Amino acid sequence: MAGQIHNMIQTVITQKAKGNAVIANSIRTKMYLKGIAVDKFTAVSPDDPATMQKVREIAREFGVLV
Amino acid sequence: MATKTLSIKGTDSRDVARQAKEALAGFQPKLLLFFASSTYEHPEAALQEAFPDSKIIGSSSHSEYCNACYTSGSVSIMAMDTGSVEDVCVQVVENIGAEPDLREVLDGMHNYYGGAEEILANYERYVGIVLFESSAKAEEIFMDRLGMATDLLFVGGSSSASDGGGQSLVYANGQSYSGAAVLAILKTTKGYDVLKTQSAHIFSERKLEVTKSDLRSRILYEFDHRPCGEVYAEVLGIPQNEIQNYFVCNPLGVVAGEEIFVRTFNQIQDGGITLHCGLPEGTEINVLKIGNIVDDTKKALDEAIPYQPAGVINFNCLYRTLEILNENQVEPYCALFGRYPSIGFSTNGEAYLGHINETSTILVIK
Repeated sequence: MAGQIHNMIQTVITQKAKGNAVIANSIRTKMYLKGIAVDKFTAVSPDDPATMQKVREIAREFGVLV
Repeated sequence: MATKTLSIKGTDSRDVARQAKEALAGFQPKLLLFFASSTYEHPEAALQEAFPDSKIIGSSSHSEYCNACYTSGSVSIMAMDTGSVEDVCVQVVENIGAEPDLREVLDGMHNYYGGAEEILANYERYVGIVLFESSAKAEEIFMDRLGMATDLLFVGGSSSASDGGGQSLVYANGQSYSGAAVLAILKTTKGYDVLKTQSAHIFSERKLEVTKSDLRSRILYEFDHRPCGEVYAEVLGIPQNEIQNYFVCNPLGVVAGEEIFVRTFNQIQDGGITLHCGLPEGTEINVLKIGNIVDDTKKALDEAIPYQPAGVINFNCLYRTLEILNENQVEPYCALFGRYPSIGFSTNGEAYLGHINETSTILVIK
């Protein structure tokens, strides 16, 4: 499997932003500032378990289940 | 008239308040935002007494801006009536060093306006101001938690103190606070814009991953599992024993898409380097180089404000103020803001989505 981190990040952004482009951008930036380099992760990025756990925790803080 | 801006020097806070009341005769401010030199004692109480029907928030300052002027030892005030701000909700969070959960506070502020759904439906009208008392050094954790508790944009900065004395404080509704944050959600009448400008550009495209750091103590230890000083010197192509000479000109930056969030160095300490903003492990950063503050600020303002705004509030890093003073660039810098009704002050840290250094965060009220 690959690309799970990318998918999790996109889920958080989509669910939080609800179509608002300003909020989508701010969620992306907040994730960067939390130590997740959003644009580094693509659909073919390896599923690093430690990073997946970190994104899962951030998603939980945002109130999103991934 | 939607806003009025004042720069006042008084014999004391009561004199400042008296002058402000005289200058604002016939004007009914919904919100009064002020930045007062820390040499004034209890400006919040004097202003609240003079304007009992207004919400009043503010911060102590090292130096102040008002329209095209730069001053020290004065009070800059922006008074906003319903032509620019329909309503304002103010809350104070004390003891921010204890890292309080902000959800309850923000839920209460959202509910003041009818709930988060109402705010989301009229997102273009609601914006937040955050004023930190800087001694707690907990802004990055607070901004992180604020960002989890609300989708609203909060813009602001951290208090500073005058070289002439006095204490770093923030103010809200007639009280002064240390180790606290003042939050205000404004329901603007015609909307707002937010911009962030830093005269820092990417020096090296090489990404460095923070692999060891102490976020809360703001200490950086390792990049890519190597001592951070060694890697920093390698990127700059300089001997490691000279890195301190480059701390001011070559800060670090988190590059999020097109946006740069600057983190400045403090000093070498405890086997690492202390910063003015902590970096969590896993963060990717670039080494930056400092550019021309006046040119970069003009470009940012011209691109972001193609209209005549009601008011512009500039939270300008104290480092940047000292730099434009050193470079004799105060007049051209202030002339940029003289194009609008504007106030500002020299901050000990700036806020926009996170805690930032060596930056200007700007709230534009339409």
